[in-house]
Amino acid sequence: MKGADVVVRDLWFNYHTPQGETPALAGLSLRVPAGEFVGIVGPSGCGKSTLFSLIAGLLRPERGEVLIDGQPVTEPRPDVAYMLQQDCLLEWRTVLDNALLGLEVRGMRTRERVARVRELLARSGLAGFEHRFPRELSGGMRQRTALVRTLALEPRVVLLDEPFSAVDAQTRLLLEEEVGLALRERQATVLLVTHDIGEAVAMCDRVVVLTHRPARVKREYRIALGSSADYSPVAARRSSRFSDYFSAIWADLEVQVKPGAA
Amino acid sequence: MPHEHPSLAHRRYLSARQRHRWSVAAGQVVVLAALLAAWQAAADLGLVSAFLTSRPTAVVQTLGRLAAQGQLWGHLAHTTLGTVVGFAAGTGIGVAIAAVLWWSPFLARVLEPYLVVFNAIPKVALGPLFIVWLGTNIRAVLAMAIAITVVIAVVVVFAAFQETDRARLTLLRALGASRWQQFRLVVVPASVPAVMAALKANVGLALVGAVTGEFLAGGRGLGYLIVYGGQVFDMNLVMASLTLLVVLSTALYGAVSLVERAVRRRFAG
Repeated sequence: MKGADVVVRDLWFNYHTPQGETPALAGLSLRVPAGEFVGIVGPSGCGKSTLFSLIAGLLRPERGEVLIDGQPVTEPRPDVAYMLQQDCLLEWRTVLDNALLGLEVRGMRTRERVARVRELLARSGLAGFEHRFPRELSGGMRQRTALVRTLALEPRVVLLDEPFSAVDAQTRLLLEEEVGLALRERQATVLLVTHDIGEAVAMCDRVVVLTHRPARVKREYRIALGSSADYSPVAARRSSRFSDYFSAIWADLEVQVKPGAA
Repeated sequence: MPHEHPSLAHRRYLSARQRHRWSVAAGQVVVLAALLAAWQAAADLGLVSAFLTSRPTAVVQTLGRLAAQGQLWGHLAHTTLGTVVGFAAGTGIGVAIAAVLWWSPFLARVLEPYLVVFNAIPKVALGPLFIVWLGTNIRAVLAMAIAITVVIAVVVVFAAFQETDRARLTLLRALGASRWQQFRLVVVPASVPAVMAALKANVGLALVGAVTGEFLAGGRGLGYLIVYGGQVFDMNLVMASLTLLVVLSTALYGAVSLVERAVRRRFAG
């Protein structure tokens, strides 16, 4: 299964409260061809999560549209997966049952798919843990379970919303590599929201920098860190050009820090 | 991790812990024995009037007489039935209402003031209504137990439903889950510990409801025995009935605690 084209066209979205309205997105446009791995960085609270909610079909835009393979998104689609900051494992379900959650919700739980999920768990180092409960797992194992849950539906588009922010630094590097490889192997279209510029540069083909809220695309960087044949975010960090990208993106963000802001 | 051969220090720690537990239990027994002895002595020495306070030996005699006359089990069963059925029905209805309120936030907002007002009413004051409507029988007792337990169940369980982790619900929605699936797969299991807490509070309240109902309905039950004993100045009967109530409430609370512990292990994070 290959990835899908994601087109975000002139997207506008405001949050409404009795105190007034807060613009989150103001005419944001973005085009991600099938199979591309795109990082999205921007100042805190700039509307990155709103963008994901719109692509996932959880919110409706006020203007503009999201197209996946040319079809407008109106509701959550089974081929679009959303991986959140927390692993969101259900504590009363075993590892296997957590990994099967999406298939169960979609009514797609079949013998073959269960077998495939077991295989995915085994490949993520979770063999023998299928019938354990989440509280018995380390942070890394929990996030791997969440990854298998994401992959179980064979998504063509994967939205990663800071999926590594809750694990320690070493596990984070390992997971970047594992998750990146697994998604590239499947040629899924991936959008990664992160606060970690290094993570975005190391994992992605392209990095998009957003403006302060309301968000728009400020600048884009195509990342070329030498040989793209063997993908490795850890090796990417050693590339001589890594720090060039890092400083350039950092500068893009820092310019926007308001005087006096922490 | 427990070792196969615990160190000396660890064995010392364990035995000290065990000793501590036994001392606490022993202390608790001593307190009870002291209270009973003081009560008995005060009555026997004429420091208090045994006519007003009864005495432990008289309580035991009264219990024996009630048992011999075959009355004890009937009254005990009446109160137990009223409490257990009232507790189950009140909690069940409460959980069902909480589910409806979760389902429709609009309805929840509409009904909120009514819930607050019904919660504020002293349910005991509704007793005469229940008697007139349902008669002086166990149905009035059940109505009282349900009236007292249902509001707590609604309030606590609805609050638990609403506190369901938003990220987990977002995940479910992104997976395409219907509202019913969200409820069944996340909201209900996540609320189990809170529901258990409500059950624990409610079992005591159900007993209050049942006894109050018996005060008013008369005829049967420990509540009736207490009122009757008071009216004929038979303090031995009052104290004996209170003793039975203490035993009953302890047993019911213990049963709910056992269920809670078993369920909590399964659902807590």
